[in-house]
Amino acid sequence: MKWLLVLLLLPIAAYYGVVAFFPAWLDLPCGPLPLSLPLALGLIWLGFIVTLLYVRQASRREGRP
Amino acid sequence: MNLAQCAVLTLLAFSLALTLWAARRTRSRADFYAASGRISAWQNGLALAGDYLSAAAFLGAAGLFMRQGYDSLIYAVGTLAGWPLLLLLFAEKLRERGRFTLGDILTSRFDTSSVRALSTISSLLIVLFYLVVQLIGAGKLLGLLFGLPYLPAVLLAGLLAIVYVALGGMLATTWVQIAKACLMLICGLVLAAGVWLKSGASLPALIAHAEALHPAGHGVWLPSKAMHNPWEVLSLGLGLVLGLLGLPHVLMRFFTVPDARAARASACWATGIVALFFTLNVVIGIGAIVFVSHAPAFLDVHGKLIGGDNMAALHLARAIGGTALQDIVAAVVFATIMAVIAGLTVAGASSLSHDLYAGLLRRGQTSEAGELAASRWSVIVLVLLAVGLSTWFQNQNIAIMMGLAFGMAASGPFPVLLLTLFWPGLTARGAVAGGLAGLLGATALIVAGPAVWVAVLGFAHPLFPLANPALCSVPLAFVTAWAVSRFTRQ
Repeated sequence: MKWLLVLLLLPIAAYYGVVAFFPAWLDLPCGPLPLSLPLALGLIWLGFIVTLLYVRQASRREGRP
Repeated sequence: MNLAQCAVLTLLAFSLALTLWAARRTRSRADFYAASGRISAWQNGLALAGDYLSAAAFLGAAGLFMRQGYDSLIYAVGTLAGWPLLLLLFAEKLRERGRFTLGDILTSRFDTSSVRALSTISSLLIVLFYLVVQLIGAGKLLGLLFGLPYLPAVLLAGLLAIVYVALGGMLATTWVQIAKACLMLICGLVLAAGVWLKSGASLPALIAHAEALHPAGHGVWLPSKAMHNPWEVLSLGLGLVLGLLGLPHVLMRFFTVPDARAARASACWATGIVALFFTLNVVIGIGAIVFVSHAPAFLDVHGKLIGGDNMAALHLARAIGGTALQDIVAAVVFATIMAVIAGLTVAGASSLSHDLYAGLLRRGQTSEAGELAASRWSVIVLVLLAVGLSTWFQNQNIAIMMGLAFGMAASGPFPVLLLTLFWPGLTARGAVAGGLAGLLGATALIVAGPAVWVAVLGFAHPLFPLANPALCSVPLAFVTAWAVSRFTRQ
């Protein structure tokens, strides 16, 4: 569980750190979009991926498919 | 009768039919508080999302994106991050240790009346603030749709909540929330697809158009001036992430599934649904900038959006699908508010009847039938109290009350629950002191902050510089719980 907590909280903390102290970094280009948009959407879906990974890990722990 | 009124009445008839169906299956207190743990994982996932996605998540997010652009996504990232954290830290443990309320979890470790009293007070305060906000929204929307004055409109909304919850308990509430979550997702998909098609199905064109129309230009994709204080941003983020983990009506939903596996799966379902909705909200928000913010049909003589920024999604529906779509979206918004009111009411009434009446006043010496009757009376008392408060607060800034509910949830129940589940060194006195410090600290800092001290009370400078108290009130709760536990440990 600890590595999933790190996988979730580290990027979220870094994101709020950038928004708070280095907002100009969000203006870097990412293809046709500014980085801010794919970064925020990526973090939103990262949350969902973390829940999927945890559910899979817990099912394996319990020996269920 | 117009289409919006027909749609609202149809949704009401459907939800009342669901309630009557559920009422026939609600015979015991386990049925009333937790649907006897018979809700499946996907059903609870939808209900969790339905409980959480209030009208603020729909109307508020679209309006915020239209006005402040990227800030809306800063809120969404923090809010979403609370869901996986809820799964990782609490979901299974809540299902394994809890029965009906948050108080059951805390008293499973500290069987003292002070701990149950703390749980009751914090749950009731958070639910009441949240409920008052939702009732104000329901009263104003009903007034708008049916031309009713505020008091009859809010009484009608309260009466509906009493019928849903007092008759159908958690089962009716769950199905009302499932229906609402489905309707809200469909609405989001239709609006996002409409924006996409109306813009020629080109993301770069949509983005360029939004930049050209928004007053901030390219700055629409960056944090606005409202985020200029870095400590405010950090405090906001902390409050958004942790607030979810202290909301009684969300935590209580994990008692409605049969086992820990279903609790995990339901949190996963809820996270996916909320993530999808937040993604759709981005397209809806950009659509509001492009198709609403400069359209003369939606602006008053002063160039302001008719009905305020929160009406952006409703105006967008009209821009995409005419008044028919606008009426249907308005009806779905009403269903959304009513479902959240039902969820809050069942959580608050459970705290009143199970924690306060059965646990504290009767010391557990009450019959099943007696507690069930008390829970139904609790629904009536809670809703009438909330209706009275909503009448008093109807012209206040409801965002402050939402902030207060979230700040309290992050600073009171969350630290106590986390320490109760994970720290063996916590004592009963430490739990009570930490919870009270968090609750009182969050309240005091919000009152002393710019949102109340300056904007409401009219002072020139705030006593506390931040509008969001979490950065100070959450550590205050943890430090107090640790310190008091250390000095009261035998």
